[in-house]
Formats: sequence, structure tokens, C-alpha cells
Amino acid sequence: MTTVRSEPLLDPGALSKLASLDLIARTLVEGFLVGLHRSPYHGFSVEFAEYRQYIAGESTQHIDWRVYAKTDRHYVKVFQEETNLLARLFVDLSASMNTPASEGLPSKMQYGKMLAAGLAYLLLKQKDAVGLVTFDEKPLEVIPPRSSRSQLMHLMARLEKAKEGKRTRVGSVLAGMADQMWRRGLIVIISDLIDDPESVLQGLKHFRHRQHEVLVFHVLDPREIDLGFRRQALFVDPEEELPTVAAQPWHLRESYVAEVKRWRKHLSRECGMHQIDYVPLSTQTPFDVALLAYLAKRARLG
Amino acid sequence: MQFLHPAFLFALAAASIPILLHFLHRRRLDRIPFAPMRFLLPTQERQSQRLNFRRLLLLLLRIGAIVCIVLALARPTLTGGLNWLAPEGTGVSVLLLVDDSASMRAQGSEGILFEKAKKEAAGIARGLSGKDELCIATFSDVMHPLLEDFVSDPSLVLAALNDRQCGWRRTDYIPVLQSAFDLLDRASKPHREIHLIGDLQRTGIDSVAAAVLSKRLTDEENVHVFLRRVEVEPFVNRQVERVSRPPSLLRPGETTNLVVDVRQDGDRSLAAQLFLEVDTLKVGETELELPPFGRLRHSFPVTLPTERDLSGVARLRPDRFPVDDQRYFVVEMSGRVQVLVLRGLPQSEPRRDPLLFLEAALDPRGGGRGDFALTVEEAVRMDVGVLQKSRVVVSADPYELGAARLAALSTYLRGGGTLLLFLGDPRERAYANEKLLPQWTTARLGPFRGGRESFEHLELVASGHPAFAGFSREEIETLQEVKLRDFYHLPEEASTTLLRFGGGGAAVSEIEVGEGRLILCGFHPSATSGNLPYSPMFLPLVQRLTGYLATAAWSRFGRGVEVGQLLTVAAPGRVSAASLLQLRGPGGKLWPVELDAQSLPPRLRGARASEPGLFTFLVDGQEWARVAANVPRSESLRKFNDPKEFKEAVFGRQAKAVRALQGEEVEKALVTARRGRPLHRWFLLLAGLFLIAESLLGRRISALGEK
Repeated sequence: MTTVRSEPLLDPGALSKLASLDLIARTLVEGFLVGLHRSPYHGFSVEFAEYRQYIAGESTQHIDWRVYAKTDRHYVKVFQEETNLLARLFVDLSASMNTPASEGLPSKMQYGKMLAAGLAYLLLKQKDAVGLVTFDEKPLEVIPPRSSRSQLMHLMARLEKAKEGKRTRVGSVLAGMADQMWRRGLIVIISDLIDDPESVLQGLKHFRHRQHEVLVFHVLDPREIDLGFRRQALFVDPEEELPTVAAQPWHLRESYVAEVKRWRKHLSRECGMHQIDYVPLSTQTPFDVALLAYLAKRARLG
Repeated sequence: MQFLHPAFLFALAAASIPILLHFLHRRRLDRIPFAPMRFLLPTQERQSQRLNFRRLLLLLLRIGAIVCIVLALARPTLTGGLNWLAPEGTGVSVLLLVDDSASMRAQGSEGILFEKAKKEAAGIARGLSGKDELCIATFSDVMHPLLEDFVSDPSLVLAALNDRQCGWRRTDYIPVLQSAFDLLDRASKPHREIHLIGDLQRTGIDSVAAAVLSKRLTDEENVHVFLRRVEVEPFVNRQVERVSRPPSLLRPGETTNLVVDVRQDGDRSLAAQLFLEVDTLKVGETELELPPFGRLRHSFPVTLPTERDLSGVARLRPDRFPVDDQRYFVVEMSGRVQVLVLRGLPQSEPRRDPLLFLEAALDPRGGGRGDFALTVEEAVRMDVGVLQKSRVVVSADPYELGAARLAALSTYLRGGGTLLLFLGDPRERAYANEKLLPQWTTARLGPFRGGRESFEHLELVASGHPAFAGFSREEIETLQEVKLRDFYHLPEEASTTLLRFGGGGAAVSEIEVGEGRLILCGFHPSATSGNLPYSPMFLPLVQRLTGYLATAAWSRFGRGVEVGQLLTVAAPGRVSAASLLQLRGPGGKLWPVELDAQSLPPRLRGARASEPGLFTFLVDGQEWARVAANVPRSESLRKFNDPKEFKEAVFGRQAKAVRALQGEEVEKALVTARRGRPLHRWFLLLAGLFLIAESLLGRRISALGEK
């Protein structure tokens, strides 16, 4: 069984304070890897890659005792495996992703970028090819998957520069992109999925139809889950499609929460039926949850 | 509904504050971009109806609270539906009725009750606004307006009130209130009030007349009566209740007993010192130990030295109600009583002739040497002029009087004359029942009882009657052993039975006829009617009945009256239209006197007795007769109603227009009556309820917010 300690390094709030996405990704992934105990994944690769110093609390399974005998220090052998996995990260940059965040937390867009950066770092660290697609109502930028070392820097730069888009059309974007991606691989979607659920599911099914493995990170702000506003307010649609609502949130909370729960449950059930990994996240969820979900998926892919 | 401070109503604009705040609050809402609007919208639509209702309710509660507070400040009063409320600003006509009867002379710690009543009346007068009008009257058994009309200047009322002294007369509320309603007809304001200020004593309320008055109050619109009782401080009252003497005829040099009744209303024995004064000289004094709630009788023997009337006063030491601590009296020298004997049906033999026995009874010594001077007339030939000088008429079966003589006899009787009438002849029942008795009474003779088989004894019923006072037990037994054979049963209605037959039915009855008095006997004073003429009690019986009627006639002629009653005495024979006739009061004040020559006998009519004391009739400067005037005994009863009892007795319990209140309640009721029922407390209560409801609703909304 995998247990993950909630390290500060994996805390979205703490990570969001770091300056560059590169640093965030590195910190995130390294912190995650350090906190991973008794991992069922025996090494990350079958080929020796390098030694690194043993960190207290880490499993002693990978300590190289010969080196210890020579140097009187604990080193862990890190293996590396050759792979040809193509991973594409779909990051939603629509206006709905950039709504004001709960206090002390990153916005959904920020969270998505950090998660995408971390995943990219992890994937490239494992020599997988990683590509990036940003979108709102249409694809904004498409970076083909590569496994070169420069790809990471490239992806980070693009993610950092990515600006808020317009309306969300998750379903149509996914459906359109699925048609263009003939080589099967891993599709990671980071979005709030604020769109017609059936349309979204339709897009996801397109990827499955093309034999892609799909991992969906459904990111929401905690207040979008529990409507935790304390004051009467005028709620406006960031994408300016729906009318405004003047409401005292506490009156609507109960039924709203039920609606959201029903929505997420529906997505979860439909995704499950089509072997799509659906991971509901809030912007306060530590990143290790997402990374573990990825690793589980990666493990299944071999 | 009206408002005492309508200026506050401008503050109703403050009711718009919650509305403005409501909209301003909406306008100040933070705009929050919220992505999952698609889930918020349907939820909000579902909740909006309930939320809007709550918000609206909250808004209404706040507006309601402000409106209620503003209305309360404006002092609303309810006038609709109650016709006794005077609209503010229109003014009201107020009639102050101040009790000045003798009972108001009771002493309290702040002077007599009448002075307290005056202060209360003055307080009301000062409290009226310039739009009101006012009239004031004092009352006892009649109402005396102190102003001719309603005035708007209270100082006139106060001036009239200041000069007024308490009276001595009895209280009679009903005619007074009737007069008050009549006086209110002169008022110019549509809304009218009567303030009855007095001790609300229990006497002086005639229930039949009260029913009429109550009906009148119901008919009068916008008239309201306020009962304001002047609080009476309790004390033990002693009084000289009566001064009397046996109904015997008096002559100069004879001694009679003056009987003085004294009583007290305390629950403990009480010592009292009693004095008797005759012609301003103290002739007797005694110490009495009065029993609780009881009376004591004491006799003073008094010798009458001259033929002049004797007058005086019986006194107690004054207590806090000195009005009844003295009682004036006049003892009239009787001289010889002029008796007219009317001869009735002719009889076939002397022993059947009542006249024979009557003459023997009234003039036993013959020659007119007794107490009675007899004049015998045949009924059919009676000289009407003889009636004028007769104190008593005695007759048995007055036969064929004729219409003119019967009318004269009736006039004589109604005017204060007396008649002793024996009806025992079986031949004249129809005449008696159809002609004679209908002149004076509704009573009629019963069937004639005759024959040897129907002997009847007499039974004395009215043993306390003055005519039988002084008879010994043996004498009464002797009288009761008399056997009567021929007689009528007398009716018992409208009369006082003095003697009854042993087998039932009245034998001798007393009937009041106008100011006169009739004693009716259902048998003959003759040998054929039984053995009565041969009884040793025959003479005493006839003499006592005649003497009683003679003294009754004197008393009826006004030798003892209540204050307020007309002072009148029989005129002397020598008086003529040219004579100087005067009445002198206790203080020496003189009033003119009228001669009523038409009455039988002719009378002197003076003024009404204005105060207790001795009044003297003067003919050409010479004293003719004295009359004693005393305070009505009803004023000494010292039983008082509380306002509610009084209201019930006079107006009935349901009379909404009568406010039976005491103390501070009176002022509140006044405000209510003039300005309407104050509602500000209700509005404050309502505002409080609104605020509580607002707080609960607001708290509930806040609590939902905390979840």
C-alpha cells in the first residue's frame, strides 16, 4: 500500500509562492519522490542511471551496500528505463479556470499549470515524451511530445507565458484534438470541465476510441465545491454566458453542494465505464494525490 | 382614529429607511466571478421564491416596527364605533353636579365632604380646554344650577362655586339626573359629560324612576356620566332619631312625656349625653349608654305651662356628622278638638242607632266638657262650612250625602282632614262600594257577615300603633274579647290593618287619602252589631281613634317637616286677605306667607324649610304657630355605594356611557372619553413584537449563514 506524507513541498499553497514553474516542478517531483515509501514500483527504470544520497526515512531496499562498505555512506541506486510513451498534457486556460481563488490557495489555472509542470518533469525524468496542449474554446497552443532534455525548458516557458483564454469548450476541443492524434499514448487533461457534461464525456470518449489512455484531473476551487462564501454577493459568470445571481450563499449551499456532488459523481461513473481515470481535485489538494494517480496509471501502461 | 400629536406623523417617512437600505444593500453587493454558475442558477431559482418571501417579510417587519413606533409617539386614540368619544379639538360640554345634601356635611380631616367635592369640581373646571364649555349645579333632591347657561370661562364657575354653602336637604338622585339631562339640552357641543360628585349614598334612588332614567341615557347620544365619589372617612355616628309624645290631647298645666330616641351605628357600646331644651332653656339632661348598632329611648316629663305651643330641641354633643345630633320639635296645645259627627242611615230603634253610642263615647260627661267638642249633622243636610273648622269627622253609614257634599268631604279629606268611618249596615254596601269608597281608595267592602252563628272576636294587629299605645295587656285582652255579629270584612290592600276579626279579615284599617287620613271600621258602634258598645273598652277605643286622627291632622298640617318641605299650617279663623302673613326662620329671616282659603280647613302656606330649626308663622305680627324643620333621617343612614354599585342601581350594569371609577382611574377615563381610547401602548407592543420577529428571522438567516 502506498502512503504519502503531506510534505510542505507538495502543498499547492506553498508551491505557488515559488518563483518559476521549473523550480516548482522540480521541488514538487523531488519532494514527491522522497516521500514515496515502500513503493510498489521497483525503481523507476531497469537501467542504472545514477547514485543519490539516501535520505532518512527512505526505504533501505535500494541502498547499495557495496558503496556503503567502501565509503561508509548510504547511497541509493537509481535505475532508468528506456521508454517510448507519448504523453500529452491538456491544460485548460479558459476564463473559468482563472476565477478568484480561495484565500491562500492558487487559482485553478495556477494549480493546473503547476500540476502540468510537475507531470512534465516527472515524465521527462522517466524519458517519456511529453507534449502540451493549452485550450479554451479552441486549442491555443499545441506542443508535440518530445523526450529531449530541452523539452522540459520549452514546456515550462510556454506554460509560464500562457494567458487566460475565453470560454470553455472542453468537449469540442477534446473531440477535435482526438481526431488529430493518431498515435496512441497518454492523455492527461487538467480542467475544471465547466462545460456540458455530456459534451465533455463525448470528447473523452473520442480519445478512448483512438486507444489513448486518458487521465482526467478535474480541478475545482474549494469554494466551488462547498459554496463557502460568507457574504451575500452578486455571482457573475466569468465567461459571461449565464445571467448573474444575487444570492445569500448560505441559503443555496445545501442544494448547490448536492448538485456539484451529483455532477462529479456522474463524471466519475461515466469515466469509469469507459476506463478513463477521473481524479477529482481541489486547489487545496496536495499534488501527491495527482502524481500518485499518474503513477498508478503509468504502472498499468507498463 | 385620531392623534394627540399628529406632528409626529411626519416621521412616518422614516419607514422608507428600511426600503432604501434594502436597495442600497443590493447595490453594494460584491461581484464574484463564479465558474460553476450552471449549478448555482437552478438552485437559486428554486430558492428564490422562499428567499424573496423572507426578505420581504423582514422588510415589512422593519417597516412595521418603525411605523408602529412613530404612531405610538403620535399618541393615537380610538374613537370609531364608540359614540361617547369627543373628537379632539371639537370641545365638550361638561355639567358638574356637586352634591350639597345634608350628608355632605360629614366632617373629614380636610373639612366637610362638600368642600372636598368643591375642590374636585374646581379641579375639573381648571382642567378643561378653551374649546370646552362648562356649567355647574349643586343638587340634593332637586338640582340648583349655579350658572344660567354653559360658559367657557372656568373662573365664572369657580366664583359661583366658592360662594356656595352645603345644604340640609335629602338626596334624590333620579329627578336630579333628569334635570341634568334637561340642562344638557342647552349645551352647544355635540359631546357632553355629566360629572356627579358626591358621597353616592344609598338612599335617594327610586328603582322605577331609575329605569326611566336609564332609558333616557340610552336614548341620549354622546352623553357620558362620570361618577366621582368623594371618599368618606369612616367614623361612628350618633343621632337623635326622633322626638315624639303619646298621641294624647294636651291642655295647659298637663304633663306629657317627650320621648327621645337616640341611636348609634358603631359596633361597640357608646356613651352619649343627651340634652333637652324647651324655648332655649335646658329642661333635661341624661347620660345614655348606647348599645352597638342600636337605639335607646329616653322620656323627659314636660309640663305645659300655657296655652302657647311648646317648641325646643333635643341635642347630643356634636360628632363628625353634627347634622343629626339635634332634632327640633313642636308640641302643640290641642285645646278642644272640634269633631263633626255625621249621622247616617236612620234606625228604627235607639239601640241600633250608632250616633247614640258615638256621642256617649266622645262626650261621656255631656255638655261638651270633654276633650272633644261635638257638632252633629245629618249627612243629607250637612253644612259644608262646618268641615272647615272640624279636625275630625266621625260617621256611621253617611247616607245620601249627595254629590256636592261627598265632593266637599273628599276635598276636606285630601287636604289633610281626617275621617273615622263605621260601615256596618247591610243595606248600604252598594252605596259604600260604588259612591263613597271610590272617592278615596281602591279598597272595597267584602261580603256582609250577619247572624248569630257568626260571632267574631277582634285581634289587635298593630300593637305599636299610636292609637293603641299605652293600653295595658288586660285592656287589650278585654278589647279582643268583644263579640261582633254583623260586620264586613275590610279589604287589606292599600291600607294598614289595625284590628282583625278572629276568623280572618280586617276589622279596622287605616288609609292615607292625599294629605288626610281615613280610619275605616267594618262594623257598627251599636248594640245590634255585637256587644262592643257594652265593652269597657268601647269608649277608650273610639276616643283613642278620634284623638289619634286629631293629632295626625296636626302633624299633617306641618308641625314637623323635613328641610326642603313646604311649611304650612292651618289658618286661624280670624285671618283675612288683608292680614299681614309672614314666616320667620331660625335666623330671623322673614318670608311672605300665602293664605289658601280654598282648602278645607284654610291654610297658611309659607316657604320651603331651608335649614333645620324652628319656623314661626306670624299673623299681623303676632305668633300664630310654630313648625319644626329637621334634616331628613335618610341623610343619617350613612350607607354609601361605591361607584359601580351606584351605576348598577341608577343606570344598570350595562350602561356603557357611565364610568364608575375611582381615584386615578377617573382621570384616565376622562382622557379616554374626551380624546378616545389611547392606543399608543398597543402600538408599542406591536412594534416590540415586530422587532422580536425581525430579530428571530434575522437570527435564523444568520444561523443559516453560519452553517
